[in-house]
Amino acid sequence: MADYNDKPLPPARSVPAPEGWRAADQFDPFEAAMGPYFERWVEGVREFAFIIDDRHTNAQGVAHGGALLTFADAALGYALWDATDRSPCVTISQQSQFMAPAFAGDLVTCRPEMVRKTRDVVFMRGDFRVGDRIVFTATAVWRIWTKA
Amino acid sequence: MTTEARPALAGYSEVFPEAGFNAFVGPVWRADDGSHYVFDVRDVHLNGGGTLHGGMAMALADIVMGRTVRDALDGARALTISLSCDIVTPAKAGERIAGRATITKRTRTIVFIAGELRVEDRVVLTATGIWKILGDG
Repeated sequence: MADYNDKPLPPARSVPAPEGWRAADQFDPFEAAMGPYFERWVEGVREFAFIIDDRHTNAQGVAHGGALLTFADAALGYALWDATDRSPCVTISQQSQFMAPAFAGDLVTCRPEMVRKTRDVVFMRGDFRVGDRIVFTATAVWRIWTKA
Repeated sequence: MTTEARPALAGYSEVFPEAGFNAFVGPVWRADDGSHYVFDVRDVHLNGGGTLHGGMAMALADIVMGRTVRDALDGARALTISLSCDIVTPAKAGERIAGRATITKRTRTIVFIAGELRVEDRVVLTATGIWKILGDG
């Protein structure tokens, strides 16, 4: 594994954090380009959110699948890091379902779950909501290089 | 990113250059015969390990497969409802990804499709997806 960037990157755009949230440190250039992503701790679990803007929509003003896929990969990756002391890891598979549209201005939130961890792979999942409505869900398999 | 020059690629046209996400991460080029798509990986598309971000790789699959669906629908619109991606090998900045997709089955309301991203002969990502055709489109 190549060394992973450990210096937080500035988000491409300044977006005020919603009440109760703060900007999460971002280490991936593409996430910084799509960010900021927000975080809050609820009952010992780190939750994530972002606000859909014109970088995240398609020609119809609906959230582009790519923006949700990227936020999902980021949120599940953060949760994996929290559970593994920031072990090096990469996504090797993600199954994603788009259940309802999300629109510019919507706050999309996620409370990711680590389902199972083995020495080499980790199984993650997350539901993504706008308010109480699930708009998107993802399950993912990550390859991990556990620290010695 | 959107301010960077976008020299035209002969024989290709840009996919949805007017739309937010595609304009922001693109260009994604569609061959004029619809046979394949081309995307050049830039520094902005990377993860902290210096390879193509998984989210961007899956987004590119969604764009290639979604446009292939649209080409087959004769004007009707469709939305991704399911996308399963395996990220097989990393891609680096400066590499040119070629994307291809093949429709497996189309019903009145659903399109099943498979897609693949490669750098030359190396498979970067394989995907299957389901698109919902919007009514009366």
